[in-house]
Amino acid sequence: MKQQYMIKRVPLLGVFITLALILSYIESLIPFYFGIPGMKLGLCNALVVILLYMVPPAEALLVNLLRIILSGFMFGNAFSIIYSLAGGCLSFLIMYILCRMDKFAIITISIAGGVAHNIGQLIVAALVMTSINIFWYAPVLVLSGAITGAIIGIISTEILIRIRPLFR
Amino acid sequence: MTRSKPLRLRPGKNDLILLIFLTVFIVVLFFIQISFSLNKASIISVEVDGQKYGEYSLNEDQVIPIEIKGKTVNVVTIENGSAYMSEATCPDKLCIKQGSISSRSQSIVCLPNRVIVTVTEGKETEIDSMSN
Repeated sequence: MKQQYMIKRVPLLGVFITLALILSYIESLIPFYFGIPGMKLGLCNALVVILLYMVPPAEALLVNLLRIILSGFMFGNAFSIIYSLAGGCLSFLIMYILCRMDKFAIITISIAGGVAHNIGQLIVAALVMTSINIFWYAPVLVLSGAITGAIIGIISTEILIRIRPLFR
Repeated sequence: MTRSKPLRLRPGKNDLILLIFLTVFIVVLFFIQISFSLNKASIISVEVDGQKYGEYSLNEDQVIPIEIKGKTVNVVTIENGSAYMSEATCPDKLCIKQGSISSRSQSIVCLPNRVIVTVTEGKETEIDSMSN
């Protein structure tokens, strides 16, 4: 029984990780820069939101961690892995809690995730740089996290409507 | 377990409350930032790796090379009362793209080289000199 489950699961999660890496690559091609370091569209966040609704949380977390580490090695450096891990973990935690509460719409969960992602990165940046001056960017980063979170939320909602019936 | 959960597609009352909280949070953050930047400053301080590197006046035009272990990694240029990063060795050059800064608490950050340039008021603030 357990083995049957693994045989089904491992390829599925592998496909999701591949998809996340493709999204990271696409994102590295899109010039989305407005004068603030660390601002991104966060296409991968759409995948994390979708996974939260489709697979058990442990598997979603696994995909999330693996795609951060792998895409960090492929498109970034040691620093960007640390920042992405901090943002990714905090945003996953917040989204998981909100999703578990079962009281919020997908778009709200995505917005909260976007904001949490940027706050996590800010905290790590402040620790790495040992300076609190970096919090100068806090307002605009929180706002941009909310905006990109809303865009990603709309995308994930539309995808989930179409994809979820296939996996029941 | 997770799969049987119904999708909440449309935002409801709970979402509204959370988003209002978030909006208030963002407005407060911006308010704090603006209230900090209102008083004009005249000194920039440069930090490298969390250590103070030096302070320079914004009133005189100058070119400041920032050296780490004998190598020049960044160059800050002060022109017409504002400072900008004119050269950097980091690959992404995000610090150069951040443009020029002139009002209080604004900063330029170069993450790879761990260089932060911040506008400060210097040691004697206006309030201190008035109350003395």
